[in-house]
Amino acid sequence: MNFYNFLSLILLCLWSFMAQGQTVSGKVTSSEDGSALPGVNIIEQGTTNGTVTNMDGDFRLNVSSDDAILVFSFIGFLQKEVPVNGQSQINIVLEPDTKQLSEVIVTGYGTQLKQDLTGNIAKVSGEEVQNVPVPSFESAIQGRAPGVFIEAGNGKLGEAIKVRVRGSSSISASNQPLYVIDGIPITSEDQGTNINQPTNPLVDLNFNDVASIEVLKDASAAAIYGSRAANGVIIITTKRGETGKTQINAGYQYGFSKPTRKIGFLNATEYRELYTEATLRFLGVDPVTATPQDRIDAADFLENDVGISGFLSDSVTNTNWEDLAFQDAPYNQFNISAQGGDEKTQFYTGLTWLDQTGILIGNELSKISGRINLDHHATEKLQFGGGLNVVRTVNDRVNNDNAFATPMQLVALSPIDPAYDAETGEPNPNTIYYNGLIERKHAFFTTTVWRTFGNLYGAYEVLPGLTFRSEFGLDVLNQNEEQYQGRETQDGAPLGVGFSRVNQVINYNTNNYFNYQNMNSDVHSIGIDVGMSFQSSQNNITSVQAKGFPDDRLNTIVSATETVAFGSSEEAFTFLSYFLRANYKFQNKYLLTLSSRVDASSKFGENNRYGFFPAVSAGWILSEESFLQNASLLSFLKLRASYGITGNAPASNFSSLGLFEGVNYAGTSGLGTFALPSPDLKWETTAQTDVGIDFGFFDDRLTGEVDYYYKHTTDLLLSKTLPLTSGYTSIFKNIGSMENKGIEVALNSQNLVGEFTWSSSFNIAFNRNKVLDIEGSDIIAEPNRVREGEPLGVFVTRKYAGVDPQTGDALYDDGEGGTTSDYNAAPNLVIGNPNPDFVGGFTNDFMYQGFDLSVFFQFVYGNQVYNDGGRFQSNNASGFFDNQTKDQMRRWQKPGDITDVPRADLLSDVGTQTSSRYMSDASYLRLKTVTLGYNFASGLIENVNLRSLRLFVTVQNLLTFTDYKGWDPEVNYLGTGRTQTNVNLIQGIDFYTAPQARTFTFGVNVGL
Amino acid sequence: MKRKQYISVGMILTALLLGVACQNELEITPRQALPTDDVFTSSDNVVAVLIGAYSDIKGTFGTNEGGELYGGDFNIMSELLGSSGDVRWGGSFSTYREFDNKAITTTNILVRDNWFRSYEALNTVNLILMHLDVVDEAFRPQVEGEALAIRGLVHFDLVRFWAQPWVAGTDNNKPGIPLKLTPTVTEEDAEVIQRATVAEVYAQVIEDLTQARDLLVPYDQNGTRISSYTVSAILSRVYLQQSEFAKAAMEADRVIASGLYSLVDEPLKAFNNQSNTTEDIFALQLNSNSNVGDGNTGLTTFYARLNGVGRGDMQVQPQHLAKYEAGDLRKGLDTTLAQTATIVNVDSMFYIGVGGQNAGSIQVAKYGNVSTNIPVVRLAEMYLTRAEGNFEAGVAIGATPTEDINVIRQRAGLLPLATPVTREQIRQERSLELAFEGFALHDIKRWQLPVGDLPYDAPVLVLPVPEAEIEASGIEQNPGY
Repeated sequence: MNFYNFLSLILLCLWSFMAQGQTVSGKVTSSEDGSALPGVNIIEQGTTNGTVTNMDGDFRLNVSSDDAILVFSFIGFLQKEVPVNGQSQINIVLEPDTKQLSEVIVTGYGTQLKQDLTGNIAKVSGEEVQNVPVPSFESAIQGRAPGVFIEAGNGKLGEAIKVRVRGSSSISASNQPLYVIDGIPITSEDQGTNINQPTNPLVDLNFNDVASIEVLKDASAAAIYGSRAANGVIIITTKRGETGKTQINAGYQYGFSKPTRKIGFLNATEYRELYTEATLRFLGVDPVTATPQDRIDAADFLENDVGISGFLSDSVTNTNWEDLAFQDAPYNQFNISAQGGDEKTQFYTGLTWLDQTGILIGNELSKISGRINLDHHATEKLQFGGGLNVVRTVNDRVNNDNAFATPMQLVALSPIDPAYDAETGEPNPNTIYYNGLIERKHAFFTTTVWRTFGNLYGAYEVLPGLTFRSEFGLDVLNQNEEQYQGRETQDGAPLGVGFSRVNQVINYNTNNYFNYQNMNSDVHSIGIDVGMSFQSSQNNITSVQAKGFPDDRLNTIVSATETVAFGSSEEAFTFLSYFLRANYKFQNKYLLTLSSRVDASSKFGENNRYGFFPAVSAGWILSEESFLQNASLLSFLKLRASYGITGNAPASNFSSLGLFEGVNYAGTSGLGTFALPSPDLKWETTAQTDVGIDFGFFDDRLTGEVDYYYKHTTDLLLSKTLPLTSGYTSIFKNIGSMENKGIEVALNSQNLVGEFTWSSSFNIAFNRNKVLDIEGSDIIAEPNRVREGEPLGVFVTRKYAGVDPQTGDALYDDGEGGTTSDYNAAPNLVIGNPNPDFVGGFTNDFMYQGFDLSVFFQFVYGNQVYNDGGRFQSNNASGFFDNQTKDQMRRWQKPGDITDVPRADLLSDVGTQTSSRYMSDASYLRLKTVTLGYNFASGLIENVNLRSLRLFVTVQNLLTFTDYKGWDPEVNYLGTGRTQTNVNLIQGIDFYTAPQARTFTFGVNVGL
Repeated sequence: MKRKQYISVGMILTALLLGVACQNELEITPRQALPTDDVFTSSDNVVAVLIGAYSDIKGTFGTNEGGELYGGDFNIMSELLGSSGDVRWGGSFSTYREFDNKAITTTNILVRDNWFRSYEALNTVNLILMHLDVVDEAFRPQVEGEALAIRGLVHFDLVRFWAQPWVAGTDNNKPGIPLKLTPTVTEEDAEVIQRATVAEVYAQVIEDLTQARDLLVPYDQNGTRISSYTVSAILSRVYLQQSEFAKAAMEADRVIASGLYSLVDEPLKAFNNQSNTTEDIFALQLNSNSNVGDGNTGLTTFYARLNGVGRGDMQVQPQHLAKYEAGDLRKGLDTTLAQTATIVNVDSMFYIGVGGQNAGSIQVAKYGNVSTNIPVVRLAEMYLTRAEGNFEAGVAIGATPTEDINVIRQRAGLLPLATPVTREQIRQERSLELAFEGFALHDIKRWQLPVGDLPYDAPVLVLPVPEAEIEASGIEQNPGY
């Protein structure tokens, strides 16, 4: 490492720029609120002489003559030229630049002006997502950042959300981006057990505190995060105080949620008809020729032999179980924040309380979050500060989608079964499957998370333009899960079962780096960031499950008589990194960025501990060229290109080792085989090329960017399938390759300005994923696969070919142009793709006088979803006794019938095997968020001492347009059998998965 | 200027020192798993791996990969596929229903999981056999014997489920199963193994078991692991499957004659015990913290329907109860259990299930508690095997067939047979005594009797090689799939 030499060299160069002369001093403030502007660049025109304002906005500069002209520039503000004219004191007010291209973009270890960017970074401002009634910030930015595909797994609150930046680049390592809050990588992965859906630690973030969200997408932007950046980096910056009068904002929002859709199941009459017919065949009677007595016999068989009470005798009961799974769900959110400060110290503080009830019975999430951010300027050169955020999140969870006890599985119950016992009022225990209403009443599952995000920083200006910054951050996640299933419940009988699990993740990080900005020249602009970073994360889990409780009210483990399972475990990883980035701008039109990072991690194998991740990018602002200066329509045009290498570390901490794990038998502990060794294991490598064009027309009223990218991932972290006879299913290796390529388009336009304003924002992203090479046979998580030449998670199974009109048998494509009724004889074919062709969003904002209206659509197109619950929900009554979707009534009944639903044939599994029968198109267009607000004019409210007053209505998921047959097309059920090997390929699976919530809210915001 | 230099040099050093200090933090060793290199370093560790092999064949609890082998599926797969209506699958899992319907799909996850779990166990014992040199000489023969015994047992059950049946008097050269005789230590070892013939598999099984039996002679006590007599009992099963009747009778006789085992006084007392009974030659040792699961896995889950225990999916049909004579203790049906009943309230062999969904069907009481042992070989089988072996071979090793059958009858509360036993009576007694213990399919194939309308050698009565294995290694599929 010649890190030291390199730095010394830079420092020597810097000192040589120092200059001397006669003096002008003054103060620079913002026209917006009069606050001092620190860090403003001041250059004596035509020279390399310059300085920057200090923390109080003051500057002092020796100029060469009384006629000198000073050029003041500051990102986010319009540049200003001021003649000295012999003055020794010059105070300057800078006007903010409202053009979109002059936005400040957080780049990771620094910031940059959007127009100077050579990489691709999408930004979502905190304002855009404020008051969106969802528990987690990813849901709030869904569809708003081009090239970022966000998909909620289901409509349960607080559960994991899939985020893919420019496609999936890994098969067996994580595909989720790295999340960084105020410079600190945070814990974002699932903290639950795999007996339930994955949890989402990001739900602990309070997005009322968020100032901006930046998504680093291309290699140039992301390479500064090296081996963690292949999936993109999402940088969250929290709000900070500004000098000036203390501003207090308070808001309250109330609303309620309903499911986006109910699908409808058979009523009692239809259920009787279908199951009588199915049972006749089971009993060997042809339903076509069956006598009324045969039908009575079949009904009697179902009532008395099978035990569907009331099938024959009860003609009254007609339970709509689907309705019972859902509830009207209130939403309450209160927040208050204050920010302000003097010239030395600024603060932001915010408090939010949220209580959101889920649309599923028994599901509720509440969160209380308090944050304080402080910045203090001790001297002209020394600044320090920090932030502290303490959050408590309580999530009343419902069972896994694959549990009888989960509310959604109520739909499987027969409409002939009453929901409640008429005499006792208790949930009916004698249903054909377990009645989830019992679980609702006699069990609970509460996850409480205490989360602390804290960071401290100090920055010291060593020399003009050269700052050393040191940051230390801590993310402590304390999670306590308590589950109790009472004696009345299926799993809790006979004497109750309790489960307690405590999970602590302590994640700390330090960044130490130098930042250099030259300010002596308006021809050459140089920015350099160089430093190191270290992250350590340790996770300790203790859990115990026990049974035998004296009373359901004594439901902590101390009252149990017998343990069922117990354990504690520890996992840890570390990353040590060095990074360097240099930005160079020549004549304000030629841009060049070099960045690189060296990463070492405990996760990598002994033989490959250090990785190097470089990137280079260049930009050319054509609109600054003389030949385009006079183009009247075109106000901005930039071409840019980048190439670089990023990496992705294995999700598991010890993937490189051959391992045995502890097992036991007969009270003796033993060792069981676990994994084969893979000593050469390292990061996977993604080389990404990006070419883009940024443009502005009509004085930037229409701006946009278009990018093409190609991501080529090699040395995939892959669980290579092995013959099962080896005793292992797979080995974890760096093999194979995969590509993602795509086009992203973002357009922003101010259609109307003036009294009535209308602005639009549109983005669309096309991504094509292809597995190029896996050096072996398919990796299978039926029906998803990893197959060479196909996209990740492609659906491969039998292709359903309808129903034989003569026999009512299910038919499958035989691969030779014909059909067969023999499932085993039918070949596996590629039947669909869970990856969308394109995704995007479209926002229109209108403002007239005090009114504002925002209409936001989000869309996903071209993907399919496989409904794994279809074999139960829509099995033409040839499985068990599940209630069926309405479409099953069009089953084949007699020879000659042409239909796509096979004959009803009890317990014979006609057509219920995995096939394209249960797959359907899942494209959708969603009216995601509509907000109508009214801001009272300041004249009206000044009398009551208010700075602002706003009333608004927000509706989330108001309309969904889709051909998907199930509840909601935005689903992904990962299953309890998920492992790191298969979790990425399980895509687009529905299994009694809860739909998204449609939420109506009313709110008020008050500013003091 | 000087001061600034100091400050900046100091800062650079700080950054570098932090980096150097953090270097050590890159070495993290796992605390829940042991690197392979550290495993085969001590005798105790090799013995611990042997415990791991028992854990493999016991089945799983709380892990992702299924495959319950002797703790569940090897029983249920045989009983459902061999059922002519004595038991029906009344549950919602179509994976099991496919066995009942004799229409197994090549993607059936039970087929795949049990195939895989078997080979995992085989790999584990092969690792032990590879590292015997590390084991203390004092108990090296025991470790080797137990490892070989597990290898023989698992290969035997693989070939019974996944290959055409052994037909005495033929060359049995149909495809058997891949013989896993060497361990997988690195990726290079994970090569494709082609299927050996049925005859080759049986030969290997007998070689392993014979060697194991002899190695284990000093370790003959009825413990929680495999003893020399356990191996004899398994060998008697193997020989019986081959219709090598005299050899089967001899091995069974060796167990009975040892005098180490005795029948418990009532048939039901052989089950639901927290420790071995006098009748257990080898039982899977289960307890509340080490069992095959109570959610979606394990024998109890599917056979029991009691308050909070089981789902009642394995539903015994009235035609089965009709096969017992009046007064047979193995016939009792308790129809009056309270809704809150658990297995301790059940004192007959069958009961009408209670306590929630699927209640109301006839359940067998052999598996009523997830935390109690599952017998794999018990003494009653040895009497029945000796009886059948002697009868078919026309000899009387140890006792006459009639005497042996009467031992079983008397324990069941029946009078001894007055006349010499017939072939049908021996078979009937075996079917009743060992009902729902996983013998159905294999005995029917031995006796060459039909399953419903299907002949004993129908291709659908053989499991398919899992599609996942076909795709990964391209080995030959069974006929009919």
